[in-house]
Amino acid sequence: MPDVIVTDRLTKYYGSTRALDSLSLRVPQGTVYGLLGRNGSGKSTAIKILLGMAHASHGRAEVFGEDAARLRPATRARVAYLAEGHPLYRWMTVGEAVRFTRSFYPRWNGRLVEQILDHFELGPRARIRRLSNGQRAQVSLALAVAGEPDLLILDDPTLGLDTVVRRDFLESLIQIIQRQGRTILFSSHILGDVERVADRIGVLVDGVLRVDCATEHFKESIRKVVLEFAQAPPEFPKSEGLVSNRAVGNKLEVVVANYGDAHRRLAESLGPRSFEVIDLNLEEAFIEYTRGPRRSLPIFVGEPADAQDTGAQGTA
Amino acid sequence: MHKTLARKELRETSGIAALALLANLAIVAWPMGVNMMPGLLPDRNWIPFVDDPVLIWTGAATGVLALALGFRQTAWESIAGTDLFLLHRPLGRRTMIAVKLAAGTLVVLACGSLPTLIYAWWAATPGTHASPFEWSMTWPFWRLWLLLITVYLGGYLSGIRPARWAGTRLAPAAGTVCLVVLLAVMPWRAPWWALGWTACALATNGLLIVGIVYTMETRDF
Repeated sequence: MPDVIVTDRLTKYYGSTRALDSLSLRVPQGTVYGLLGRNGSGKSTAIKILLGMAHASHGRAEVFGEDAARLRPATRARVAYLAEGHPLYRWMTVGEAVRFTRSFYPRWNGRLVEQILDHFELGPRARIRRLSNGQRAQVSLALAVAGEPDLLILDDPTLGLDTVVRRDFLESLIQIIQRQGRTILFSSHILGDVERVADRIGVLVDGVLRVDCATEHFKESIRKVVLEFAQAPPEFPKSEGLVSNRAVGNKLEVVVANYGDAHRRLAESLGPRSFEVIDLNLEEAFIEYTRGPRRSLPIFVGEPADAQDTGAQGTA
Repeated sequence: MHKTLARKELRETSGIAALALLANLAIVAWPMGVNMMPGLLPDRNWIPFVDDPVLIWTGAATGVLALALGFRQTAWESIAGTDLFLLHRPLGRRTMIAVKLAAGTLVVLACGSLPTLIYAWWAATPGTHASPFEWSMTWPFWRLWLLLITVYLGGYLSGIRPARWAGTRLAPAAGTVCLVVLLAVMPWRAPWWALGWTACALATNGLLIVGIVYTMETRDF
């Protein structure tokens, strides 16, 4: 599969603040890629650079093989973008928003937009300013997909939506994903959403892409090891893949990436009274991973050989 | 798509345009004997279009409109976040700027020239006032409306310009207001000056448009 998005050492400074640090990323066609990170980690900056709305300080970004800073209108028509907060013209009605957006797209699927709006029970006369956040998200989604895009870029699309609306939104998104060949890049804070839809994830920490692998692989590779001691626990020895270790009473909680025999032997060498290896879900894995000492987090792109073809760039 | 974008711009600016138009109509009604602001405007005691205070009043109202319009089309979109929605439409950025500027210029000219035409039509109608009238006497008004395009462009550039503090951000708007006041009060009856101020206004407009395009293409949203 060709790569729809390619970035190479993409770096962005705002004044003296480095918002994005040497981001190298490949998103192959047909992939649903979840970009994760805490507030200020560089997700929105990366997305804006990909859409030519912010300019990279160094490095390059390409979308469909074109320089992202100079996307031709024809290429832009192939890319749908849902900005954070779903900005729409509040004075318009839903029908006016549809007519306004339609005029820009040569491939406009009027039936699809009607179906989506019907599904969400949004009438064309409804005023955008009277819609809830969730309803505006639904209108934005309908407008985004009606242009028959090959690539959807969504910046935190479920932010501020309640659980039910979020579920509806994601189910619609899954239906859209099922259209063959469509690529989706979305950023999110809500790990459950990412877990449901993303094939691959990238985790940005302070602008650095620390994780780029299959979602399942990340989940399976981050482990929390809890060692219980008779007295105050010792420090866990420095080792490859060590994310964090902290003492809680007589227990030592250690988080490691790519947990393996070497880590087990190190744990045993400390002579604990007992030790337990805990599986984490994506949310727990993400939290444990990103709250470690940020500068020394292990770069985490290792994954099984069969997944390497889908866009991983190497291993730490 | 150009028409749709132009319609959107006209619709969004219709509120402030209507206010400015009403203010200008109220001002030109004053010499016609309908003083809607008696506390503010004295009774008429001048020859229409000769050292006419209507020029200053309508100029001020349209100047405020021009500035407000520039900000409405730019900073307002940025505050509402709709600039991201609009910028991602598949339309060249320069084309987008051109359509927005054309719509804004049209609004400034319409709000200034429509009341002027009504006032001039009244002045040209025999029996309405005891003084001579020639259409050439309306020239200072037309000159002012053209100059106010410069103020509009200054407001537009200030609206899109990223700056660390309001002072530098507002510099284009403040600068164009000063320039237009200067050009408007300079003697203009000499033929060389008519050419001079036209060249000065056109050069300033050109620079402002270059600044707008450059800012839109290089700034981060």
